[in-house]
Amino acid sequence: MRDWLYEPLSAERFGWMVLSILILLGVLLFLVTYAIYVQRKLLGWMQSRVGPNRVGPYGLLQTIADVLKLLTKESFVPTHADRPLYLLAPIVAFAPAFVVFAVIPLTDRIAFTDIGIGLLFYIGVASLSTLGVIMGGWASNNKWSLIGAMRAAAMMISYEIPLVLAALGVVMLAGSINLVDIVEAQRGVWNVVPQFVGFVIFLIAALAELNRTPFDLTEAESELIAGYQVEYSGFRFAIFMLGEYVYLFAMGALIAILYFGGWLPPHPALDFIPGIVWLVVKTLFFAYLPFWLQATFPRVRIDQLMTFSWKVLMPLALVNIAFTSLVKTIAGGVS
Amino acid sequence: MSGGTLAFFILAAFGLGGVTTMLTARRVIHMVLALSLSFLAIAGLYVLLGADFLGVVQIIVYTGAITILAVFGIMLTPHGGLETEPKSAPRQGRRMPLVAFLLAAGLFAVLFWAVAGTRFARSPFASDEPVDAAAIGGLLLSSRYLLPFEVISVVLLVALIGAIVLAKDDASDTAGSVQAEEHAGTSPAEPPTVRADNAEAHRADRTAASARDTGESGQHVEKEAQLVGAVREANRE
Repeated sequence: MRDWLYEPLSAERFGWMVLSILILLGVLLFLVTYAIYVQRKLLGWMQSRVGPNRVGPYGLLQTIADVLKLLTKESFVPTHADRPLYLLAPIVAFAPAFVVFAVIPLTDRIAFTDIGIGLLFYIGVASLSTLGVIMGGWASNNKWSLIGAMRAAAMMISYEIPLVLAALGVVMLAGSINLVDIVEAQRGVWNVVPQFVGFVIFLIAALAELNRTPFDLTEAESELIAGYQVEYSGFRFAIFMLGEYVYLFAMGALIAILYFGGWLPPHPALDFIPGIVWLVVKTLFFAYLPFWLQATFPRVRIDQLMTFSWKVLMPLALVNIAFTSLVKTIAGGVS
Repeated sequence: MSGGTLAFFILAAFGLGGVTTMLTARRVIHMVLALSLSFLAIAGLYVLLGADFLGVVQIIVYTGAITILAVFGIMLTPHGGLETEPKSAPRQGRRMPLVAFLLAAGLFAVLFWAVAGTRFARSPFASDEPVDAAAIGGLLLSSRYLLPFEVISVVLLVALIGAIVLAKDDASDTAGSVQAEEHAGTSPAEPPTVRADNAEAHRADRTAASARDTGESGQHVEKEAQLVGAVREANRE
């Protein structure tokens, strides 16, 4: 990022920037399309159904048909909606999920940008999507969307704290908040082993940040219809969904990088497989895990949700930090 | 023109646009969100200056936390009718555009003269490279800044405990606060529409509460329903 800031901006350089952004967008659109397919198919199997199987071979074109349907639908604005905010909200909700990919390194050499504070950037930018959710819920002028938005905001703010505190354990082990350094520090053993408690806290908090089951209270179709998205239709609804699924992949990549060695292979003997393949495999696994949980867990109640974050996860994360620093100090003192 | 210059002008336009929108917007919620836009632009300017860490902290603290806090504050406080100010400014204000213009121009001239006349010495600590966050942390915990750092954390702790005490006080007499709201509705200063709205909120309250189990979760839903009533009021045009 820094190199182009101080160099003349030639058309060629600008062209490359735009091109790489478009490539990333294309890849993400493809992933999201098939993530939805995999989710539906998986849920179908787990509930003894077939899942989509009509459009294309094995129903592979189902999501594409759904997207086309969404795009041709009328994009409706309710009469008493707060018009500017209503139009802006899907964009504000989607943009942060996309921007965080800028700091996620694909291997030690391939990255959009390698800034020193990568993890902090991710956390800071990701928290902005809360604003989009609140805007959407407020602007729709519908009580269900507003309740959904308030729940989403309360939940995202509460679970951000254990999320960051859990990640702090990893930062302490690596001695850096640069994502490349964090991965390199896991050459010996992946962080999931010494930071197992941190990993569990991080995973739970990440599920809440993503609004996935068992923390999908913000959408809770049985009580809130669809939460903050209830008034949205057509293209704008598609953007909300896109943001949600892109964030799923971003969070999967972050878990892979923080706890599962990023592009490092599980064993040095497997070094011949390029690092990017490892990262993609790990990312896809952690993007897929929430679907699995979705078919397994019931939804929690809002009061259980808050109690769990503040009275269980946060103290546990603090204990984890204290323990990590203790171990690190003792180990550092001996060597 | 370097990419940095281009980015500066784009960010400056967003920052100024955000502030201008904040001043001219009619609804409080628009003002807050416009302000968050200019916070974001300022974070971008910090990054341009090589202060990546400060830029991200700006995003986390101001755009992420303060704005959301303000949004919650606006949604949770009833302010029906307060946002619709008269379309025309008071007569007295309209008569003196020349005076206002001269005052603003004078202030601008003084500021411009002062800024143009100052020689901005380069600090010996400034660096062109982005500062490593670990170095900042090390400096903060060094003996030079340790005491202020600890004092600030104690102040924050006091604020945190204070907030909890205030919130606890509120929770113990929820019924009392509802009554107070009703009183506010019947007071002669408030327009009668507020009363109708309150009644509506209470109805939403009851349906929402009956839709779910009683007990702790019911209480939460009740609070949510009250909130919806308050926001409806605010959303009225």
